[in-house]
Amino acid sequence: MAWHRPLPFLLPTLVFLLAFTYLPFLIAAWQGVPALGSLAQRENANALRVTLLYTLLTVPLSVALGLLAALAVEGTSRLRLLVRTLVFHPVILPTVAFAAVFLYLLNPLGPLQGVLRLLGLQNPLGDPLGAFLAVVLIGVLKDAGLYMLYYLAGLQALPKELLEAARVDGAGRVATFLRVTLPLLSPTTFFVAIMATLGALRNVDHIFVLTKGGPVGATDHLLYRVYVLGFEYFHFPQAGALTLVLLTALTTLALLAMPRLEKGVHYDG
Amino acid sequence: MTGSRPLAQRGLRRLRVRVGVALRDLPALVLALPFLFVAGYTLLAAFTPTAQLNRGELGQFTLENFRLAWASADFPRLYLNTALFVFGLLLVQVFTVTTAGFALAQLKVRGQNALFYLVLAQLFLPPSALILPNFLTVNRLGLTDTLSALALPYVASATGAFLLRQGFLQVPRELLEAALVDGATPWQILTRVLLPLVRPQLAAFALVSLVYHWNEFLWPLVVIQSPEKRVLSLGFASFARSAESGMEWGLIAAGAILVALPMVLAFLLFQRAFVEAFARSGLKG
Repeated sequence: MAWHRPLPFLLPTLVFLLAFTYLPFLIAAWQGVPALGSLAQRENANALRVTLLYTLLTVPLSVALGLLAALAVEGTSRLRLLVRTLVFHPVILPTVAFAAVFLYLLNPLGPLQGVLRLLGLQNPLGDPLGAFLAVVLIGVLKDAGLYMLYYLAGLQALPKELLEAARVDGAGRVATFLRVTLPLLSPTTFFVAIMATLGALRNVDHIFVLTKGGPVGATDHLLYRVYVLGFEYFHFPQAGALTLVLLTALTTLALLAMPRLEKGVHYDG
Repeated sequence: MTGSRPLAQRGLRRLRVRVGVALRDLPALVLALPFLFVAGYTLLAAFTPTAQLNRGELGQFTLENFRLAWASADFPRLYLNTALFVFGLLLVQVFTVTTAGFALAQLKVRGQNALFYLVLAQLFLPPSALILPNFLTVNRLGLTDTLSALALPYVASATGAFLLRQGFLQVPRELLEAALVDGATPWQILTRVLLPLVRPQLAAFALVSLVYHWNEFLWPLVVIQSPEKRVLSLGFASFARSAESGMEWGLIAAGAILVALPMVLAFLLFQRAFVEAFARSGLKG
């Protein structure tokens, strides 16, 4: 299909890409560079730390849950298809609605009070560690179904001969999984890890509903703080500086992932 | 009498097989628990009087929560605004992602690499991370507090462009060459020959786009100020805030259900299509 110059057809997309994806880099820099010093301020440094911890915790948990879920529901029995639907359904729910339900589930008189008391967290949303874990939990549960789908497709694409060969050679189920299945799935794992990192950096809706960054800044995610600084305090320079940090992280992620994505790391549905 | 022993043995074996099957499904059942718990309690809370929930109890049945939720926000308006936003945006996106996908399918890897990566990189630069600069742009354009401003950052979609590109790459060459020989222009080839062939990709993209934007919260929160222009997620968040301070859990659950209902119904009706669409949207370059 190389008979035609593609540029005119790409033009509408390019115009909007430049205006709303690449121009923002310049605007953020113009706003934020003079205020880069504010990154060292206590609240902003705290937001950086919270975001890092949140990402470091949600990403491995999401990858693990996605993989375990796929292994648990692989196959076509009615029960497994039902569980699949159940695990996937939060993906299509608004995060604000999904998170709001946890206001009820985690309240001191809610249905989880027994378990929470055992954990020493009578009122998790009022406790810095409890609130942070709650936000992580919701982040993980919300998107696990999506990662499960990616892993299911990955499992389906595995070369059956290799698994068969391992079995013939007398490898046990655990050994087959660790030595054959898991390495073969590594492209999917890479893809899921990238997607989960992206999710951890960009989805903060549940923080708005559940904790508003508190208590004492325990859930003050970078992006949540961008909102508060920019649109509650109208402090654009500081919000711009934090946006620049976020853009740096995202660009790094892109540079890391794109070469491998292009080689077709992921299956195609 | 003579047959009873083997029969009992057979029964035992069958039982053992059943237990084995059940054990194999055990991980699936354990996995289901937290999701069942959250979904189940959402439904329970929505249909239980708030006074009872506040005592940590369940059991009575009521529709009062839904009546109150419906009355405490202008739901018809919220549904309408959300629908206008998501379907209006989709209409524009169908044009932009089809043309972009067509162009990307034609790009040769050598010369036009930069363009390819310029589009691909958008996958990693989500508009939610760009709320500050994009708000300043929208403000400069005089479009704050409009539904069209909600759509602007999503008009160009890398997900859509690459999904469609996959579709175009699968079209057999002969078809295109035949159309070219007949003297068709590229635009005619795209709209008359190719478009019907990429319908599955377009449908998959449409579903993902509708779900994603129906649930969108942060960018609308930044752009929209007037209550009458709010979309569902905004309306829900503001009423959840007041319901939370009153510990009206039933109200919150009922509101959450009202907000999610259209997508949940669509999902239950077209489960296969949804799952396939989301699996496809995790695409390679």
